Amino acid sequence: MPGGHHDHADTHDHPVNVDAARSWYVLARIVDYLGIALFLGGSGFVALLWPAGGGVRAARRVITIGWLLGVVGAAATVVLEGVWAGGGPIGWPLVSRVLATDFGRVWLAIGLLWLLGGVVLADLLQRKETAARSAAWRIGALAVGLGLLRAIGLTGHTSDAGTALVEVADLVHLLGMALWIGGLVVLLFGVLPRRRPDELARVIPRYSRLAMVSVASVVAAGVVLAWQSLGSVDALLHTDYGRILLVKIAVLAVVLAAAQASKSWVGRRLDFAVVLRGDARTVRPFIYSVTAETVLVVFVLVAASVLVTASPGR
Amino acid sequence: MRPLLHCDAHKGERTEQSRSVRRAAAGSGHVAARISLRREHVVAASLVGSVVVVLGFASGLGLHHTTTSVAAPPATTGTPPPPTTEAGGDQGGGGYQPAGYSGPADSPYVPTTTSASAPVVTVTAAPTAPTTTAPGATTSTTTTPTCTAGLVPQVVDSLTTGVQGLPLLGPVVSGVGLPPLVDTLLGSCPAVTTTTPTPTTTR
Repeated sequence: MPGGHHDHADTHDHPVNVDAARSWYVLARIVDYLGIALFLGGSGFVALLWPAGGGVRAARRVITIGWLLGVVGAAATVVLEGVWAGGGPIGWPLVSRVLATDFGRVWLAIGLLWLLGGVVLADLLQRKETAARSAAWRIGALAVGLGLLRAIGLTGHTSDAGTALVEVADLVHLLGMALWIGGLVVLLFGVLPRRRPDELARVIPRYSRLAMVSVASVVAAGVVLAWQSLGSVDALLHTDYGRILLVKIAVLAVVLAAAQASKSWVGRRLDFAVVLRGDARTVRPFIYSVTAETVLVVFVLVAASVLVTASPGR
Repeated sequence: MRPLLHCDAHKGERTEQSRSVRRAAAGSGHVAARISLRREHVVAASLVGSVVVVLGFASGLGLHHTTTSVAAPPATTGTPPPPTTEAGGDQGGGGYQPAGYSGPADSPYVPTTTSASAPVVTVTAAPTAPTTTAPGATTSTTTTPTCTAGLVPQVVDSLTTGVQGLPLLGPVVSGVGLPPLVDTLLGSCPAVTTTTPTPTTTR
């Protein structure tokens, strides 16, 4: 409880500071993951499925918010890593000490990649749909996106494994997550509020297929990563890392149930919605299931953020 | 008739002029489009190149690894200790550490994690056999400071009521010597150290 933490703070027990720093560090990682999902997933959605979305303010806003969250998350991670690891006053000496480590160097690179992402975003904001349709913008966005995912992978447990399979699995896991979650958010805030029959008919089936592939990739890559981290079913059941992973899987199962509801709506009701020219009552159940998916997915990200700060115990 | 012919001649000239102007404009537009296209490609290629360079930097290519690149996590009582080695089995209810962290084995940077604001009682070397009062022996104590809750923690506190285990920013930054405005916003815990002479008896 917050009050309890205040009490600890007043007694100036140092472990409270470390615990607090860890909790804020986890929060920073959540912000960073959300930023990646919205920026990369939103850009991917616009580039692959809905180029006209480049001209829609809501879609551009999702991508912009993703970029801002990514930048803030990366900066906060560096600072809070320093507080957590070493304590001491927040300031340039602390940041420079963190940046002198391998961990800090990777996060500096992530910060630079977010700056490059700013170039991609600026181009989209300036040229809108023209940018989204151009091959050059797509190549730039793809390069920055893959770079970010790879750099984030270097901060994870898989960076210690050093095997190509695990590193590819990590990249696929993050890419699938970003396309799935970012697509959900653009769908929810960009496509569905407009309820245009032509867009519904064209974009939703495409996203449905993309989401299926993304979820399948996330699960398959997740199995590889879990096996690499834990190594046994026993470790899954009897270590803290394993228990957090089980919680994450449980929340993911609930999300997939909501996703199944969305998928069945697309199969049964989408045609009606198009024929009825985006009738609000027909589309509403789909909006509800997509909203449920989006909210629940945040809890999966919370579990993922706790996992990256936990020791696999292998 | 004549003026009309004259006028037609002028009209023909103007038409020719406007055609040439249009042609020139179309030509310059075409060139502009071509330039814009090239610039677009150059930006994309620069992005790809920059990403490759930054990833190389992140991977540590070309860096000579020394043992001075690791910051040690704090070793404090009452906290889940970060694992020094990733041995098998459970880490005993914690073992939390940022992923990718190298561990404290070869760390030059071992911060003193005793909070500056924590009450620490330092007793000077005690005389072996106290008989008489001798001046100069002191007991240095750091008193518990008065903490001021900042505005941001109070707001966040009220917003996060009911959220278990989410501590406020105040504990993280308390007593770190931030500027007054930041202290006002985030809270502060200034350390107050007083030195009081105490009588020591020597035999």
